[in-house]
Formats: sequence, C-alpha cells, structure tokens
Amino acid sequence: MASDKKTIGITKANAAALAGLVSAGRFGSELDAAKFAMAYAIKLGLTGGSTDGAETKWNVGSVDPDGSMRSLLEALCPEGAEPYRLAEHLMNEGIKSLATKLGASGDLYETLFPGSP
Amino acid sequence: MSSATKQKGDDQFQSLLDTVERLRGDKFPQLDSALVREILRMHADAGAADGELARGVEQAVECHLTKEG
Amino acid sequence: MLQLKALHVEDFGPFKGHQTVKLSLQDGVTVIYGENMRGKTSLLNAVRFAFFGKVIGRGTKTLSLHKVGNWEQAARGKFGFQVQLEFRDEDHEYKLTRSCRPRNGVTTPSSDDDYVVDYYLEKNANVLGPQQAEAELKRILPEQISRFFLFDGELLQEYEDLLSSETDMGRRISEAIERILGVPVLTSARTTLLRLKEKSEHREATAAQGDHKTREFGNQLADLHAQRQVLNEELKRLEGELEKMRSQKASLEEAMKKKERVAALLDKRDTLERLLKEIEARRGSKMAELQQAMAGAWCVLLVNPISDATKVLRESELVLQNNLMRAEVLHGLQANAASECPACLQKVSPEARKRIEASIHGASDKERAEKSRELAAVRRKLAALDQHAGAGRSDVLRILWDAVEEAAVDHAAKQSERDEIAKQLESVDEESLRKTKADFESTIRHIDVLERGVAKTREALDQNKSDAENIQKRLDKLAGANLGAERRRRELFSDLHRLFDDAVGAYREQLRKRVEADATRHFKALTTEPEYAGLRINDSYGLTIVHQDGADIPVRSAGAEHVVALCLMGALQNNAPLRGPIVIDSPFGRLDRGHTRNIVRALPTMSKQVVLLVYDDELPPDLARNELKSKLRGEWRLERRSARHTELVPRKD
Repeated sequence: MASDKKTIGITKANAAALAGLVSAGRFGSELDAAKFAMAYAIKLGLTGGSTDGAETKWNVGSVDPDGSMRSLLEALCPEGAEPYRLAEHLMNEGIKSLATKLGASGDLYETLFPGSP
Repeated sequence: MSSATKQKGDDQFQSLLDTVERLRGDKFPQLDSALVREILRMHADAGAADGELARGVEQAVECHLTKEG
Repeated sequence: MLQLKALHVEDFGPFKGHQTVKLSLQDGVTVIYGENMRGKTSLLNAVRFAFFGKVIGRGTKTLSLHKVGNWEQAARGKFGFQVQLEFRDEDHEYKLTRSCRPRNGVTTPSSDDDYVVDYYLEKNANVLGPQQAEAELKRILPEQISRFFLFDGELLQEYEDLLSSETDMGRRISEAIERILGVPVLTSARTTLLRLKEKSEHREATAAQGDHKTREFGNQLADLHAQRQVLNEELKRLEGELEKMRSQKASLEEAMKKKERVAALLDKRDTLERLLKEIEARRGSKMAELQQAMAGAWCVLLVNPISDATKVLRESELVLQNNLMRAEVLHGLQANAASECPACLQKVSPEARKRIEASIHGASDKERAEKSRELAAVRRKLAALDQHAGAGRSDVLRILWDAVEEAAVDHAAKQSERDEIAKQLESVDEESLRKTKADFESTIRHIDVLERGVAKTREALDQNKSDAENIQKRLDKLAGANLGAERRRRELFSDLHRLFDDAVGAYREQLRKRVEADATRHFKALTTEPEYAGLRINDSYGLTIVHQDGADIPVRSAGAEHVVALCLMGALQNNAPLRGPIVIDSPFGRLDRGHTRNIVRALPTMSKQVVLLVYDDELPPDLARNELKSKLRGEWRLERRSARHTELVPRKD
C-alpha cells in the first residue's frame, strides 16, 4: 500500500470528455462526474489496470476523506493491490466509455435509470 | 333639384313652419308671423353663410320695426 | 333622391374580371340570389367601397384592402380592384369610380401600405375636381347615416350603438339623423337670433350710458356684456376643443380596436416572458438540488456489484468468524489442561486432548492475530459496502431529473411560442401602440377637464345672464323715450330667440314622435306577434319593442333586431327629404317565413329602390314573386365558377 498513488488525475485526452460528462450528467463537480465514471467502469466489469499519463487533478484526501472509498474498491475489486491507482484507472476508462455512450444517445438518463421509457 | 326632392324639401319646410307658427300663436302672439316665416325661410335655404344670415335677419327686423313705427 | 343604376366590379372579392349588375330605375325591388360565401356581402361592400373607400368585415372591423382583391387573379400576379357605381341624384347623372391599385414599383404587394386608393366622380359626364367631388358625395350619402341605406343583416352592432346614447358613435348617429330631418334649420336660426339679441342688448346699454339718469345701469350692463362676450368666446373655444378631443378619442378608439389583436399579442408575449423567467428560476433551483444529489449517483450504479460483493464478504466473514472462534476455544482448552469441555462440562480425556492438539496446528498466536486482522479488514470492507449501498437514492434522483427535464421542456415550448409571437410582432411598431394607448388615456383626461370647464363657463354665463336681466329690469323702469327704440328692438330679438329656442325642443319632440309612429306602423305590418303594441323611441332614435301591457321588451333576438332596424330605416325614409335606395344583405337569415313574407310585402313602402341579397332558402323565388308581383324589377344570380370565382348573371328561371 505504500506504493499506492497519493494523487488522482485525468489524461489530457479525457479532459474534454470529462467536461462534457459534467454538463450532460448535471454533476456539481468534475470529481462527482469522475466517481460516476469509475462506478460505470466497475459496472462494466473492469477490475484491474493502470492508466499512464494522467495529469494530477485531485489529492486522495479530497477524493476519499474517510477512506471508505478505498475499502469499497478493495471489496469490489479484490485483485487490485493499489486501490487509488485502480481508482484513477477506472475513472479514465469510465470517462472514455461514457463519452462514447453519450455520443450515441446524448443522455445519461438511461444509464442512471435503465429500463425507463 | 328634382321635383320629388323639392316637394320633400317643401314638405319639411312646411312642417318646420307649422311647429314655429303654433308656438308663436300660443306663447308669442305679439310676434309678426310674416317676419317669423321670413326668418325661417332664410335659414332653410341652403348655402347662406352665418354672416349673411345675421345681416339678413337684422335687416328684416329693422324693416319690421320701421313699419310698426 | 339617390337611385342606383348599375354596379360594375372588377376583381373585387370573388368577382373575377369585369362584371356588372344593372338596377331598374323604376320603383321596386331587385333580388340577387347567391348561396353563402358566394359574394353577397362583397356586393354590399362594393357599394360601400365606392362611396367611402372602406370595406367592412365581421364585427364592423374594416377589412384590409389587400385581402379584397380576387384571389385567383392575385395567384396570377394581378393585384388590386375597382368599383364603378352609376347613379342618379336630383336629375343629375353620376359615375363614381374608385380603385385600389399597387403603388408604383410594387409588383407583389403584401399589405395595405403597398396600395393606392383613388377615385373620381363624373357629374353629367364631367369629371369634378377633388374638393367638389368630396362635397357632393358627402351631401348625397353622408357616411354616418349610410348604415340606414346599406344594411348588412349581420352587422347589428351599428344599430345597437344607437340604443346607447352614451357612446360617441350613438351621439354622432343621432346628430346625423337630426341633420337629415331638418333640425339644423331651427338651431341655426336660434343661433343667429341669439347673436342679434346680444348685439341689441349691447346697443341698449351703450345708449343708456349716454344718459346721466341711466348711466350707472348702462355701465353695469356694458360690463356684464363685455364679460358675457369673454365667456362666450371661452365657451366656444372650450366646446371646439372638446369636439376635437372627442373626435380624437373616436379615432384613437378606432386605431386601438384595429390594434387590439396586436395589443393582445403583446400582452401574451409579456406574459410568456414573465413565465419564462419563473421557469428559469424553477429550473435553476431544481438543477442545484440535482447537482447536489448527483454527488451520490455513482453509488446508484454500484448497487448490484455492492450487493454481490456484500454476499461474498458476508460468507467470508462468517467463515473467518467461525475459524477464529474455534481457534479461541481450542487455544483455551489447550492452555488449560485440566479444563472441562465448555459444551458438555465433562473433563477432557487425554485421547481427546491429543486429537485437539493435532487439529490446532495453525492456531498459534501469530496466526490468530492475523486471522483477526483479516476479519477486521473484511468487516471494514462490509462497512464501506454498506455505507455506499445506502448512499445512492435512485428514486430521489429520478424525481429531480424529471423535474429538471420538465422545466426544460416547458421552457422550450414557451420560448418557441414567444419567438413565434415575436416574429409576428416584428413589423409592429410597439412604441406607437403604447403611444396610442397613452394618447387615448390622456385624451380622456383632457376631455374630462374640458367638460368641467364647459360646465363652469356655462354656470358663469347663466349667472351673468341673470345679473343682466336684473339690471335690465331696473333700467326699463327708469328709461326714457330715447331708449325706447333700443328696448323694442332688444325685446323683439329676445322674443324671437325664445320662440326658436322653444321650437327646437318642440320640433325634436315632434320628429321623434313621428319617427316613432312611422316605425310603429311599419313594425305592426312586419311583426307576427299580436301582443306587441309597437315601438318606443329614445332620445337618440333607438327603438324598443313595447308589449301591449306597456312594458318594454328588454332583450331582442337578432331577428327582432333586423325587424326593428328595418322599421327605423323606413321611418327615416318617410320623414327625410334625403331618400335613397336600401341595399340589404341577408335580411331574412334569422327570420321565419311569416316575418319574411311581411317584410317582402312591406319593402316597397319603405323605399323606392330596394336591393336584396339573399339565398334561395332564405327567400324562395316563388315567395318573392308572389308577394312583390309587379314590384319585382329584377332577379340576378351569383353563379359559382370556382371556389374563388363568382359570376353575376341575370336569373332566367
């Protein structure tokens, strides 16, 4: 755990997509949107990996003040040894996937409430 | 002026005159009916300007007063 | 007397090309048959257009002239129209031609501004100059009373204006009626005599000033006369202003009526703007709520993974818990050799102890601590899972999303409505509309001030008159022979003035009684209701039906309105030197067969020349022929060529 990341970042390529996600998803902040993307990635089945070239955006202390997110990731993705590095990866992958999905339907509604008319 | 209209116009004049003459007889018998008729006639004839009418009536009245003596 | 000879229309309404209807100059009735929408009202409007340059639509609204031209022609790029009316009045032959053409340089007109309306009047084949033409037309058929000759059965509002003398229109109409009935002769004589009376009073006062006995009174009278002159001038000025203001009010009312639709649009737009602001605010606040709630949205996505992971970890926890507990128990047994089994309370045999020791391998302190840490980690993860499972409120989020969406949709709908209205208002001069309204309100205030001023001045004049009379009386007592002549003159003028003053009232009263009697006579011939005694007239020539028990019939059906209006027309025609044709559009539309028959029979008695615009069911040709007999002078048809093309043809059947 000592090698785990202390900061979490978004790649340059994902920056615009993240901004788009914030507005399409009516998020109050990029962090909220990023967490959403992370959860989306988990839902898609992603459990491991790492992203290079991320430009630092947040301190882990801002992302996970009480450490519960780390515990959650450890619970959901037991193979990962570095939860924050994983979180960063999941966020970036999630952003990419959501960008594609939004591009097609322009709506986060179905993602949030699947099966709605 | 067509005869029909003239007739209608005369009828109207007669009707006006009847009204005035009746009142004269009832309330102003001292007034001369010929003078009254002339004043009415002057105003019934179309086309006279206000000033001309006033002068005409004044003259008629003067004439009448002179005749009375 | 005005008699129509022929009406020529060119591209007017449904009348494509040049078409003519000829009217007989012999006394009687001409009937023009046409189904609805074939052009009957257009014919009436053609006559109106010829005389006044106006065309009327529903509810007395003036129609846009751009809409009057024949549509089929317009589709071919030919715009504009013309009406020519041949008529006779007082043995003179007239031809009135009025046209509406696109302005120079305008190939595709789109509004009234793109047209020019022009007319000329020929009298005995000579074209009259514009001022003379205007004067002639005003004399032949004054617009204010045209409604009694060009009668559109649908437009009863005009007649109702009469009943209410409150309206300016009502007042103007009754003035117009009185004008054609001769009242101005008396009022004019009265005015002349008043001026002369005042002049003679002044002469007398001047003469009195010349005599030392009567000087004082003479002076006072002279002062009062001077004051009276000033007051009269003031009154004249105020009444002139008042008339101007009233006329301004009427035309502003007209303008506002025209702009009513625009005003309504503006109001709607303003309301929409207000609503848009409200929706914006609502959307803003819901959005803020939503943004806050979306902080937990990521948990919503994880509901299933969390649930799955929780199940696995709970099993793990159970296993670990059991292991740990077993390890604790065994460790306890191992540590205490003489201990009893905590379960059965029996001493543990050495054989059992051997078996226990064999299975405890791996339960050293270190290993136990590690298991403990493992369990703690699992529990920590479970806690985190639990915490995040509850954090995502999908139902709340959904409500907020829907609310924001709804507001957005509402906003978009109203915005597009607002934009649509804005487009319609593009060419509207909002400023001028508001100005018209403001002008109207200020005109009303101005009128109020003037009316009060007039009342005050009249009061002052009355006071002046009474003061003068008092002094005059005293003067008369004192006056000598030299004032006698002046006095006689003054008294004569005074008597003459009073005579004509009384005559005005008496004649008006008489006229109204005669019109009432004639109208009642017509009414009795037309009505089929035996309990109706007749008609009663009010100050402004409005008529009410009177029941035989003396009561007024308060509310009238449209059909009854027709009948009463016809009676007034007939009565006016009977009493006025100005007689003319009656052109009636759909007179029987609201009447039953009985009334229809009565009216048809009575029409020739109301006017020498009558033109009826009807449809077959309204007035079956046989009924017309039977009732009118030799008074039926002509029959025409409006024949359909297409939806927008009607031909005027003489009826042959």
